[in-house]
Amino acid sequence: MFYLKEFFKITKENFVLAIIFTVSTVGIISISHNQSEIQNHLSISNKTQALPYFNALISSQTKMNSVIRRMKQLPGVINVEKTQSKSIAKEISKLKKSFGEDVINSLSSIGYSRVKVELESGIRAKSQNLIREYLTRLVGGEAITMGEIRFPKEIKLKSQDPLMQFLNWFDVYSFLIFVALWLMSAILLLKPINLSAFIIEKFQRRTQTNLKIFVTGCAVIMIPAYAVNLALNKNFEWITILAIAGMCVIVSSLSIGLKKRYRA
Amino acid sequence: MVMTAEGRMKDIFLKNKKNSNTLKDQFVYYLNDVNVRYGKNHALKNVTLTVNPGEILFVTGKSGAGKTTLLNLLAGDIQPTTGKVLGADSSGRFVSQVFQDLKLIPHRTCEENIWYAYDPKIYKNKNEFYSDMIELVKVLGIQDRIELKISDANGGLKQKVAMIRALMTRPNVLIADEPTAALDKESSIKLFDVLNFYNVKRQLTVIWASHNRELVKQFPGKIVHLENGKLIYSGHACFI
Repeated sequence: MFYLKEFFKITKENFVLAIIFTVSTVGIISISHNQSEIQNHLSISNKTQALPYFNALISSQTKMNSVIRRMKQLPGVINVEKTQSKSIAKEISKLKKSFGEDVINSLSSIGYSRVKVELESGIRAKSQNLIREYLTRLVGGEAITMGEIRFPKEIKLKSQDPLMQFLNWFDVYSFLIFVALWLMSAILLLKPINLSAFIIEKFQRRTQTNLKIFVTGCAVIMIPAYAVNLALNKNFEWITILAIAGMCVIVSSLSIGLKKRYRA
Repeated sequence: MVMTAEGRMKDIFLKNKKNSNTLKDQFVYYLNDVNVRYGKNHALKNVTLTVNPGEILFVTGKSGAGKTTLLNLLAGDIQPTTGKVLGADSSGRFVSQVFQDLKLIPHRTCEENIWYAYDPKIYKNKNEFYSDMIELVKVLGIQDRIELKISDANGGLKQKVAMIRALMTRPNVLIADEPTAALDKESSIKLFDVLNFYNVKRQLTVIWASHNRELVKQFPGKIVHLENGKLIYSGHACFI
């Protein structure tokens, strides 16, 4: 508790440094723990994937949730999503302007929902028809209107595009930036820690004080950061453990190595 | 049976000899032909010196004479290039220091800096420490400025805070590097009186470095005078 109190006093007096140190520590742990998720969201290979799909208008009297759930269970179906009613209302108001009010009013009195069904890439024509037939049977032939299957062109990303390149390597770059910030803030934070530790050792009967202050402080940041990451993403990642161990080794080495600089 | 004065002295000597079998009990420090070099700079040259328990030792000399090097050597912060220093690493003895640059934390108040001396192994509780601290603070006349931050304090106040912090550790040996550099003569004498009191009351060994030889000549104690790293004089102040 004594070392923790001392760490908090020092961080209070070096607020900006402490914030950088804390943010970079949490950043290193979070990136190493969620590396695969970040890659899935940002890498080029995922951006280029464009799936075939078809739209369907289904009567709102149908139990939509049940239809969506059953459709998702079908092999060959990747995703089924209901389009928001707000956007449909918008479309209708647009149509009102171009067609006569009477025609559209009679149309809009019929309640319906729009559903988008995404299929596996490279799906056979026979399977496509089976999926469409199944949906028709589920809803009933008169309650559904289906559009053609569309095959969007793959988004062609230039491999030389710097933004795309950056996004593709985002996890690595951000990890390196956090490591650099962490190392810089750790070295700068060691100066006030070593001064306090030197005084404590000179005036109290304690040893290895700087190491104890710094390690206690790091533990207070690292343990909750890792616990939160583990709660949100339950996958156990060895790289996170390695990152934490690496930070502990660096902190210990710096504490011992730079201790003599503040002596005599 | 009536014992003569000479006989009583002999008896005391023999008793002391019996009780102090080890070298450690006979002296606080013993330096034998010590040399310290920083690269090409020969900071201490063939220094031989004994510091006895309960002694007040003044280390005098001009700037760069080797006073701070000698003090760092005694505190165990540096090692001699050649020669031996006995007693610098003795366990069970606590050495407290007043540093030349004071080593006070500027963002904290005078009181917070003194609290660094609070060691639960030495004091029963914080109240005991606090009452001792207030006593010393009053003696040195800084009770109305104790809440000031070190960054706002003047040189004299800082030196008094550093001295109080060092004394609050209840040391066996006090090493003070220019503790009166920012003090006037009156304050310097008051500070010496406090140290003298601790010396008598708690057998505190005081090693005090100063470039002001005229000032320390007024105080009782032993003087060691250094010039260019060489020990020129070692003896009582009254004989210098």
